[in-house]
Amino acid sequence: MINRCWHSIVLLCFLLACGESKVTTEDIAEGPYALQTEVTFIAGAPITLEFSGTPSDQLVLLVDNAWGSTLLAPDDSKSVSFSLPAALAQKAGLSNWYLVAGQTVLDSGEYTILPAKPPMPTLETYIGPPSIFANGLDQSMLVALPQDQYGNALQDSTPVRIRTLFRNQQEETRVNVNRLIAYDYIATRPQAGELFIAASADTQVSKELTVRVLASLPTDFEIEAIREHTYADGNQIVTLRTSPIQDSNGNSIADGTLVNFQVKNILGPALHAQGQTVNGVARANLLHPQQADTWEVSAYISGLAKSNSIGLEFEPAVADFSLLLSGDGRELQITSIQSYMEQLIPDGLTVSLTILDAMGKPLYTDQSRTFAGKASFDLTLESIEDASVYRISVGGVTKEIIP
Amino acid sequence: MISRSKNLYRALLLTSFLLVNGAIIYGIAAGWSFLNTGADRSTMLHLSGTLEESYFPEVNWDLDQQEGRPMELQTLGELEQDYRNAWYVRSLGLLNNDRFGLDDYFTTDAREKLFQQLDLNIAAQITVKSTTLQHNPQLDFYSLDGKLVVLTDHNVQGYRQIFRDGSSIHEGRTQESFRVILLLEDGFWRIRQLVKIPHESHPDPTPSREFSLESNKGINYYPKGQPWGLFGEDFDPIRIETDFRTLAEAGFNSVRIFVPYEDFGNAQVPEVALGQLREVLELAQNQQLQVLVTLFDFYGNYDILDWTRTYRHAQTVVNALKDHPALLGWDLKNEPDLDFESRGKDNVLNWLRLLSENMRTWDPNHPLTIGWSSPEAAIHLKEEVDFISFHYYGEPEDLEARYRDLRKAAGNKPLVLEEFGKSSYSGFWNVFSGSEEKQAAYLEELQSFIKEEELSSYLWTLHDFDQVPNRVVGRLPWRKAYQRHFGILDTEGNPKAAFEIVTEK
Repeated sequence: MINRCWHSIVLLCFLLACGESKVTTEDIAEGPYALQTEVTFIAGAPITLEFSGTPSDQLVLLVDNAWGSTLLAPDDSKSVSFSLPAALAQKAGLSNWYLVAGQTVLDSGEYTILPAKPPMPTLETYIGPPSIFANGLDQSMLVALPQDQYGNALQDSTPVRIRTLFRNQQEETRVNVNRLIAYDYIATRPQAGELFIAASADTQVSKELTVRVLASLPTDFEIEAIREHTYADGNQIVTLRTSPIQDSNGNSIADGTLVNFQVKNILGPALHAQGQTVNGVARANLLHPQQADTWEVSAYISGLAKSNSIGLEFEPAVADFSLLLSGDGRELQITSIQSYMEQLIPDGLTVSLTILDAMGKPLYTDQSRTFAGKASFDLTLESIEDASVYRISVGGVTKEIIP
Repeated sequence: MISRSKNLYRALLLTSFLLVNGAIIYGIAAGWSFLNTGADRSTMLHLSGTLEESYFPEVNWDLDQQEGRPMELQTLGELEQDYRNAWYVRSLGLLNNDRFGLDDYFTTDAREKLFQQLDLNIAAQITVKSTTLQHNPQLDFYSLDGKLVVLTDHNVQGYRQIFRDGSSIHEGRTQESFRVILLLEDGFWRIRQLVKIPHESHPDPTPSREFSLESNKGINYYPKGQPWGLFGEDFDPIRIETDFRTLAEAGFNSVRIFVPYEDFGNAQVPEVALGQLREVLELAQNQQLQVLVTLFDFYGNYDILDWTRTYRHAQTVVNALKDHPALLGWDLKNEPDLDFESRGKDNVLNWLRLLSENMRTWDPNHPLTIGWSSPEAAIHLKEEVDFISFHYYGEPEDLEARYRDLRKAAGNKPLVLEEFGKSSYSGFWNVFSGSEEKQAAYLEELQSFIKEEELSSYLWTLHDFDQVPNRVVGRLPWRKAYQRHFGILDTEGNPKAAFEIVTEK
C-alpha cells in the first residue's frame, strides 16, 4: 500500500515536472536576435523584417502602430523573418515592434514607414467660412491635406500651390505641409463677387472651391419721394425710394436688407413703412393724407445707416361743398364735394360730423365716407335733442349748419 | 369501449380548444407588444455620453502653440470628450474585434484603416486589451471656420495586453506620440488622420522625497459601531474626535484610515466625501496624530479597462489631501497580494506600479507604501515604495525570522508593521479558546519586539465591533465572530486587558 502510494507520488512529480518544462521558453528562443533589415520603408512596398538568430515557430512579432496592435508569425520555419501584411505596410508612420517568445521580449525596436511617392489623384481640401465681407478685414481659410495613394498624410514641407481667381485676376501662393496639413488665409477683396480657389500638390489637384465675397455694411444713403400730385386727397400713393445703398467700397448691399421709413407730420411721428432692398434700392408706399399736411420723411437701416430727411407739402384737395338738412332734421346731406379742379372728390374720403350744444360742447360725433361726391348722416333723435350746431369737416375744410 | 373513446375525444377536443385559444391570445399579445416597441426616439438625437463613465484618462492640454482661430473653451470641452471617446471605442474595438461605435468617432477614411487592422486581428484570432492613461494633447491648429483641428498628443501613456487564441502573448506599457487631425462632422469631432510619430524621451520622474518615520506608534482606525465604514451617512465627527483624543492620551501618534473606492464614487468623488476626509485629517491634526491614508479599500477589479477610473479616483483624493499637515503618507492598497490568485499577479502588480508612478507626480511630497498582507509578500515592488509595509497576524515566535528575511531583502528601505493584533474572541467557533488575557499576552510579545527593533507599527484596532460587514471576511460566522474582537476597547467602550499593554509608554 505504502509502496503504491510512493509510486503515484513519484509519477505525479514527474508529470508536474514535464508540465513545467513545456512552458519554459529556454528551448524555443535561443541566443540573441537582431534585426538585420533597414528600419525605414516606403508605404505599399513589400516590407519584411529579418532577424538573425535561431528560427522557432514560438516566435511572434508584436507590432504597435497608430491604429492598434497585432501579432505576426514568422514567414517560414527556416528563417526569422516577418512580412508585414498590406494593412500594416500601407500605413505610414512610426511602429514599435517586439520580438516575443513565450512571455519574454527578446528584442524590440521601431520602424518608420514613409508615405508612398504617387499621391492620391485628388487633393483633400477644406475651405471656410464660405462667405466673407468685402470689408478689408474678413478672411477665409483653405486647409489642404495632401495624401499618398494609401491615404497617408504627406511629409512636412511638401509644397502646396494655392491659386485664386477674382474678377479674372489670378494670384498664386505657396505653402508647405506642416504637421499633416498645409493652410493659408484667403484675404477678402474690396469688391463683392465670387472668389475661385484651387490647390495642388505635385500632381494632386483639388476641386474648384469658391468663397463668396459679400458687400459689407451699408453706408448712409439718400431718399426721394415720388408722387403724382401734391394734393391731400387721401387717394393717391407716395412712393418713397432710397438711392442705391452701398458699402464703403461701393458694393451694392445684400438684397433683402430691411429699410425703415419714418414720417413725421405737423403733429409728430405719424407713419411708418418698411421696404427691402433689391439691387441696393428699397421702396415703400404710403397713401396721401386726407388733409393738408407737412411731412418730414427719413429712412434708416437699424443700427447701421441712415438717410437724409426730406420734406413733403400736401395742399388741401377739397375746395368746397354744400350742406343740406332734411325737413324733419333727421338727415344731413353733404353734396357737391369738389376737389382741386372742381371735379367730384374720389370715393372714400372721410367726412366727419360733430354736433355741438349751445355752449359749444360736443354732444355727438360720427364719420362717413364720400361716394360719388356725396355723403350723408342719418341722425337719431337723441343725438339732435340739444343740438345747436352741426359741424362738418371734409379734407380739412370745415363748415357749420344750424338746425 | 365506446364511451371511453368518446371521453378521449372530448378530452382531445377540450385540450385542442384550450391550445388554439392560448395560441390566438399569445399571437395577439406578441403582435401588440411588437407594435408597441421600437427604437427609443431620443436615439434620433445622436446623444452620446454613456461611453464616458468607464474611461477617464488624464488629459493635459497645451494651447500655447496654436495657430489659426483661437480655441473656445466650449469647443475644447466637446473636442476633448469626442477625442477621448474615440480612444475608448478604439480600445473596445481592439478588445472585441468589433466595429461598435467607431462610426461616431472616426471619419469614413479613418474608419477604413481601423477596420483593416481589426480584420487582420480577426483573421489571426488576436485580441488586444488596452487603455491609455494619460494624454498630453498640444493644440497645433484650429481652422478659421472651426471645423478642423490638428493636435499632437505627446507621450500618450498606455498599457496593453495582447492575446492570441485567448492566451496572453505579451503585456506592457506603451508610450507613444500621435499627430491627429479631427473634423467636425454633424456635431461630432471625428478623427480623420492618426499618425504615430517619434516620442520625446520623458524627463526623469520626480526625485525621491525626504520623509521621516520616527518610530510611529499607530493604530488602524474605525469608529465604534462603524466597522469598515468611517465615511458616508453615518459619519460622526464627534465620535471620531473622542476616539482620537483617547488615542492621543494613550500615547498613539498616528492613525491609518481607509478610503473606500466604490463608496467614494469611484472616478467621480463627490465633494461631500472629500469634505469628510478632510475633516478626519483636521480632527487628527488637533490631537497631533499623523494619518496614513489607505486608498482603494474594497477595490478588486484591476482590469486594464478599469485603470483610468481608479487613477482619477486616486488623483482626486490626493489633490484634496496632499497639502494637509496631518497627512503622513499614502498606502496605495490594502493587502493586494490576496488578489494575486483571482486577478492575476502581473495585472495587480502592473496596476500598482503605474499607480505609484502617477502618485509621485500628483504628490511629490509624501511617502508611498503598499500594505502587503505578510512579510513575504512585502518584497513586491520594493523599489516603487518609500517604505515597506507588512501585516503580521502569525505566531509571535515566528515574527523575528520572517522579519529578518524581509529586512535583508528590503535593502535600506524602512519597514513598517502596518497591521498586527489578535482577537480576544472566545466562543463556540473556537471552542472558547480565546480570551482577553491571551490577546494581551500576544500584544505584549509583539510590543517588545517592536520596541527592540524601533519599528513603526499600527495596531489592529481600537474597538470591538458588534457587526462585521460581509465584504470584509465573507459570510462565514466563525470568521466574522473572530474578526469582531480585535479591539483594545470592548463594544461598551471599556478598556480590555490589552489596553494597558499597548498604551504603556
